[in-house]
Amino acid sequence: MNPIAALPGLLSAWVFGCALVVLLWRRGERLSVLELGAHGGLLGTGAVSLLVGVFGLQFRGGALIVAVLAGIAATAVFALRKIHTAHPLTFWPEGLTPRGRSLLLIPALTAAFVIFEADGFAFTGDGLFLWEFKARVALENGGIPPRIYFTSPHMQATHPGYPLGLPLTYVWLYLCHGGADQGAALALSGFLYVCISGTIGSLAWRFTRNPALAALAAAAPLGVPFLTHSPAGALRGYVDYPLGACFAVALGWTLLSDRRGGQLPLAAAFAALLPWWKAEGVIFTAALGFAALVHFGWKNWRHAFALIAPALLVAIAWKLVMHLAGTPPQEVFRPISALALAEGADRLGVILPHFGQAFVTLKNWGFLWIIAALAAAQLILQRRREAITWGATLGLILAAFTLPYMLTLKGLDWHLFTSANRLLLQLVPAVIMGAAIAATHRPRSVAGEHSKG
Amino acid sequence: MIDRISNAGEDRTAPPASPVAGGFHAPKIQHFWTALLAAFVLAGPWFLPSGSTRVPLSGSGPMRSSDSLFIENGAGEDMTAKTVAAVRATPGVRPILAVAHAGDPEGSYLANLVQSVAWSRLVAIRYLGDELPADWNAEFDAVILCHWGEPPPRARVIERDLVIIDVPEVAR
Repeated sequence: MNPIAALPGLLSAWVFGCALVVLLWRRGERLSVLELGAHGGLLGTGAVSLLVGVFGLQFRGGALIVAVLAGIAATAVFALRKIHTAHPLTFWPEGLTPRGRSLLLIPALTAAFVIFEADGFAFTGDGLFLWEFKARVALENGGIPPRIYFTSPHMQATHPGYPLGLPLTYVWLYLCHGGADQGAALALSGFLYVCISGTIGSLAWRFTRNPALAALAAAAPLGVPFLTHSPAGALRGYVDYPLGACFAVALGWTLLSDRRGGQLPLAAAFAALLPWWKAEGVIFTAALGFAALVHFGWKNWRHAFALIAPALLVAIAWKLVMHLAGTPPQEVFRPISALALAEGADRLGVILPHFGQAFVTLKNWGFLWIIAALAAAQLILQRRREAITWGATLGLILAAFTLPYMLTLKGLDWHLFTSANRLLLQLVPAVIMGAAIAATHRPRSVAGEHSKG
Repeated sequence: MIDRISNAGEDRTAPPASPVAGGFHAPKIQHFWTALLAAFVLAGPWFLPSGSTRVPLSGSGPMRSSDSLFIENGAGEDMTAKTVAAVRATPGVRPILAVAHAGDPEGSYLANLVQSVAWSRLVAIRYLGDELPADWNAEFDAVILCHWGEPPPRARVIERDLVIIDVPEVAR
């Protein structure tokens, strides 16, 4: 396998993402190149797959490459014009002292260690049988899967109805390389790990303005052994960690925004990827909308709607495409209905304790649960509004986890055993973000002013 | 009217009002969280598997991930390319059937691997007893036996546990 094979595809996706971040960035505020790179990498890998999906409806093979590259180039030109006129970029985050800059070595070294280790990992389970498999099906067809893939009864075990965020990113890497190479696809996992660390660090910096906290938040994924070293972790081609990261980034920028809007367009762009990465992204979108309603106030519902509207559009478009392709309903889960949920509720007595037990397993999660508990306690005591936002969204995510198990037609124990831990990966960025929010300092004067209201 | 939201008036995306180093007024809570996160990052590797079992995959074949799963199942080396070549050499355009004994995890895994790597021909999977269905060739162009036992005569052997029977062979 050849990780270098990913270079042309990753570079173009990264340029695309950076250009989108620049275009979505609110004028009048500064963005460091480091933050731009991290956000651009995460956003670009998802956005380029959307581009491949949209252009793939019309073009195949070389024509698809040209069309996507033209889209990336046009976006980059507009971004360069904005950089030239608005001057939003600095190299270092504003206010970061030389001592603070030296702390960036901490996440850099931890990321280097994780990437070095990841060179010994191969795809496992769903990483190969679902996501990378779909990429090769699409590649054989010149860009997107053929219609027969969605309708054939022989392909139903590979879940044709699942969104194509990750597979079409692989397709872009393969197209740019000139053929399928699972080394390129695995390199994407490492690239995303680095970008996600960067975005978590960036948001922790924006919340706390504390360089040590920001650096440690960026390095914190190393404290989760399941994430870095398990056969179903973030570096084996599973999509759960990028999904959780996009949610945390969208939530973070929402909480950092004020009623004038702040960086809501950027948050909305990350939110748009939620239903594109994975089907349960729709529930994450709902959680994000709820968080925005609490944060901005119910009267400012337009902000919440603007935040989740692109995600809803993506989700509806995907459902429409699946309907037009004639994809049969899945046979793995019962269709959602009041009766199915009522009958599935009996299973909560098995599902919830299983999640609780899994989350306190030290060899998988370290003591992430202590971080979560302390962050929740401090938020409840001192920052109730954020506590509601953060706690309720985590609760909704947990609901997203339980729903498939309530409706599964496979054996409940088997299904829980094979996927519960992997789903918990989706919580990791939000928990670290919760620690950063809990450590946020709000000057007494500001608190006093608001308490008068 | 002051907003009901505690921090909705703050714009923390803006640069900090005071220099950062020592500029925040509640260092104790941030010191606590700094110490906690530092302990978390340092403790993480404690739970990692002891010793490095890293075997670099760089420089191996482009489908090494699939190959490594075949190898774990004892199916042999370079199986992705061999399977794809064997399936592509199968005459016809109808789907191919991959079968394994019901309750045989190795056979089941191999069948799924075959389906995964041999795309471009649809591969259906069925779990059976000891006998193939009599009319399998009504729907499929070939059948792949996964961890099935001794290969039948005239079957194309991909590797020890993976053989293909083409329709004409059975029809004879």
